[in-house]
Amino acid sequence: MTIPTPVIHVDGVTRRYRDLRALDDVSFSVQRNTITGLLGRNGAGKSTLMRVLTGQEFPTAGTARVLGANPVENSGVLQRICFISESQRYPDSFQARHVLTSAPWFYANWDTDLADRLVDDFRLPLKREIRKLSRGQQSALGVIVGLASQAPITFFDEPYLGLDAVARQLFYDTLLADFAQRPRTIVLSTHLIDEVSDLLEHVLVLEQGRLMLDQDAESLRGSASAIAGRAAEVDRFAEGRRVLHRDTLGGLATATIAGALTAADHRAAAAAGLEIAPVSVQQLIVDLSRNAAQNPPEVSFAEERGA
Amino acid sequence: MTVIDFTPTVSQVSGPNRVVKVLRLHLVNRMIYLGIPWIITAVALGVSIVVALLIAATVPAADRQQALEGMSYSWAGLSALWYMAVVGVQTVASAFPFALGFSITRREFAAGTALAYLVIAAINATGWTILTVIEQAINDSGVTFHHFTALWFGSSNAATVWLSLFSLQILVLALASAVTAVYVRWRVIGMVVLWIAVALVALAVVSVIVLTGTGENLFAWLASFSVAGLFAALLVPAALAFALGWVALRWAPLRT
Repeated sequence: MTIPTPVIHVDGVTRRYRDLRALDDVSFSVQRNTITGLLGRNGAGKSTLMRVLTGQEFPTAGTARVLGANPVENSGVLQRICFISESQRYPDSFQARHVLTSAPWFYANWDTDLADRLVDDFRLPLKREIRKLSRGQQSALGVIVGLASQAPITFFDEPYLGLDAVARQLFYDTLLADFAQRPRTIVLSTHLIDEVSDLLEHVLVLEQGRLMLDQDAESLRGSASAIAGRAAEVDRFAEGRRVLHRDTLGGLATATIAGALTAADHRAAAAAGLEIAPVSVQQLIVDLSRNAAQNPPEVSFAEERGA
Repeated sequence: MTVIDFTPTVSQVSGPNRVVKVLRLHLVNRMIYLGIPWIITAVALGVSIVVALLIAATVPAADRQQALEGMSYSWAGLSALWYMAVVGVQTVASAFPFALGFSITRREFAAGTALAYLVIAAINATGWTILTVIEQAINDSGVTFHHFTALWFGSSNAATVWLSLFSLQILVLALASAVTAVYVRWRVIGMVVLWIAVALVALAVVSVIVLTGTGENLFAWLASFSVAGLFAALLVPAALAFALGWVALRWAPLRT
C-alpha cells in the first residue's frame, strides 16, 4: 500500500515580531501534486508563512518541513522550490532578460520554450530596467519564472498584483494546462478568491496569524448557504445552526449558515417563504473571517464539519 | 506499507557548481561590477589628461614641471575604487534578496559573492596595473603625466601595484558588504551598536598605545613592512569584515 506523504508539513509554527504574532501555532500539511490556495486578509500571515516554508524566514517556535526536511539552508530542498514573491527585489539596473538568462542556472527543469512563449503572451519588455516596469509587468515576470521553473514545489505569493484580467486568465489557463501535463505542487496566495476557486484543490485560510480553515476545496463549495427572507423566519430557520454572518434590511434578513442542507431543510425553507442560495468560496471566507474577528476561532470550520 | 519516496525529479547540482552559478549571477549584468568601474576609470583619466593639457598650455615653462608633478597627489587613479563601496552595499541590499528568490542558500550566496569579489578585483586590478605600467613608460620617455602613477605607484613594480589595487578593492567591498549586512540583519539598532563598538575599539587601541608609550615602536614596526606586505596585510581586516557580514546574513530574515 502506498500512503500519500505530505510534501509540506507544518507543525505548531509561530513567528513573533516583538509583540506581534505574525503566525500563531499554525499546523497543516500539503499533499504532493496539488494546487493549494493560501487565503486570508492583508496581514494575515500568508507571506510570512511562505517565507518560512522557503527558508527565508525563521519560525520562533514549531517546525516546518518541506520534502521531509527543514528548508533552512538546505540546498537539496531549496533547489526543488520556486518562490515567486509579490515583493521580490531585483538588483538595480537589472532587466527582465537578466532574470530569464540566469533562472535556468538555478532551476534544473527550466522550460525555455514556455518562458519564451509567455514573454510574448504577456508582452513583457526584456530590455527595460525592472524598476521601470509597471506593477503588472513586474508581476508577469514573476509569473513567467514561476511557471517556466517547473519546480516540484512552486509558491506564488500574490502573483498577479497589477495584472489585467486578460493576463490573469492567461496565467490561470497556462497553470492549469501545464499542471495537467506536468503535475507538481503549487501553493498560491491571493485575494481574488472567486477567480481561482475552481483552480484550487485545497484551501488554507489564515486570520491574524492563525489557521482558520484547512479543507479540501470540493467540500468547501456548497458547504454554506445563504438564507434570505423575513427576519423572523430566517431566525427561526437558523436556530440551532451555526450562523456565520447575518444582515438585516428593514424586516428582511440574510443569514449565511454553515453546513450542507438536507432535502427536509429545503422543504422547510420553501414552506417558510425563504430563499436559499449557494455561497461562493469567496463569500464564505469573507463571512468566516468576519465571524472569526468577532469571535476568536476556538473551533475551526473544518473541525466542526468533521465532527 | 511503503512511503512515497522523494526521488528527485530535479537533477541535483553540487555545492561548488552552485557557488560558481552565484558568481555568474553576479556577472549576468556586467554593467554593475565591471562596466561602471571602467566608465569611471575612463572619465577620471580623461579629466586628468585635460588638466595636464591645461597645465601645459597655461603654466609658465619654469613652473610647468613642478605643476605636472603635483598631479601625483590627485588620487584620481583610485576614483573607481570608491564605487566599489556602492557595489558592496548593492550586493547585500539587493542581490542578496534576489538570490534568495532563486532558492539559493545563504551559504552559497556568501561563497559565490566572495568568489565574485576576488574575480572582479583581480580583473580590475589587472586592467589598472597595465595602465599604470604604460604610464610609467610614458614618464620614463620624458613626458610627465601622473594619473595611475600617483602615490606609491610611481616607483613600485607591477606586482606591488596589482596587489595594492587588488587588496584595496577587496577591503572596500568587504567593509561595505559587512556594514550593509549588519543593517539588513539588525537595522538601525545594529548600526548604532556597530559604530559605538568601532569607536570603543579605536579608543581602546589609541589608549593602549598612548599609555604604554609604544607608538614609536608601532610605527617602526609598520615601517619595517614592504609596501607589498602592508597591502597584503589589508586582506586580514577584509577577511574579518567578510566574516562579520556572513554572521549577520546567516540568520537575516528577508524583509519586505
